[in-house]
Amino acid sequence: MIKLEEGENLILEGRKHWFIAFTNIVGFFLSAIIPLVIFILAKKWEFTRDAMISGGADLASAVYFICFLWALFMWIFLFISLAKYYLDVWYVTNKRLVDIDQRMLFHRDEAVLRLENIQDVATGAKGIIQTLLGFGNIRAQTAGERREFIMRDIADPERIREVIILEQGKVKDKTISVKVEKVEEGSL
Amino acid sequence: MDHPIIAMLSSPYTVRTLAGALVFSLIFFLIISVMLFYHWRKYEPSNSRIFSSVLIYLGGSAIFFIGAVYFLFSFIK
Repeated sequence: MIKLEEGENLILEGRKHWFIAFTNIVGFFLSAIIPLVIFILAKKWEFTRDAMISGGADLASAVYFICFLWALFMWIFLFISLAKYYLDVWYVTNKRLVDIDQRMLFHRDEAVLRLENIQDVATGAKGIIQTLLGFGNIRAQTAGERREFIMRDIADPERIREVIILEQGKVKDKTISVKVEKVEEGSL
Repeated sequence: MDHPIIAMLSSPYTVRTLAGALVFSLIFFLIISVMLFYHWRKYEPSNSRIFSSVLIYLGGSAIFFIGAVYFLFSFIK
C-alpha cells in the first residue's frame, strides 16, 4: 500500500494480468516433473537401460530423492515468483500514477508520475494471447526527466487509460480554475 | 565385475553427498522462507491471506521434504 498525500484518494489499484501468474504456475509444474520424466525415459532408452536395471531399488530411491528435492526448489522459486507478481503493483490516485516494480525480493523500484505532467497515454496489446485475454501495456509520455512510463501486462488497459485521462482532466481543470481565480484577484 | 553404477551407489560418498544436498536444501528453504514471510507481513494487510499463503507454502514444502527424507532413508537401508 502506498502512503497517500493530503487530499489524495486512491482510484485504482492494479496488478499484472492473471495469465502472467498462470504461466508461472504452469512453468513450475512442467519444470518440477523434468527429472521424473528423464528417469522414466531412461528406463526405456537402450543405452541407459542396463544401468537402470543394475542400479535396482537403490538407484530408484536416489533418483526419487533428487526428484523430491528438485520439486522443492521449484516450489520455492514458484513462491518467489508469485510474491514478485503480487508485489508488482501500480496505483492511480486523483493526483499521481505510482508504479512499483518488484524486480527481486529485495529490489523494489518505485516510480511516481504526477497526473499534470502526463502528455499522452497510449495502450498496446501484442500478439494473440494479449489481444484475446484483454491485457497489454500502458505507456504514459511525460515532459519530465523520465520521458516514458510503462506499465506492462496490465489487465484491461483501455479502461485504465480512460481512468487516467479522466483524472488528469480533473487535475487540469482544477489548475485552470485556480489560475483564473488568481488572475481575477489580481485584476480587482 | 560390478556395473559402475552399483559401485557408485555403494560408495559412502554417495550417502554423504545426498545427505549434504538435503541439509543444503533445508538451509536454503529456511533463508527463502524468512525472506518471503518478511515480504508478506510487510506488504499484505490481510492476515487471512497471509495465513493461507503460509499454509499452502509450508504444506507443499513439507510434502517435498518428507518425500526426500523417506527416499534418502530407503536408499541408506
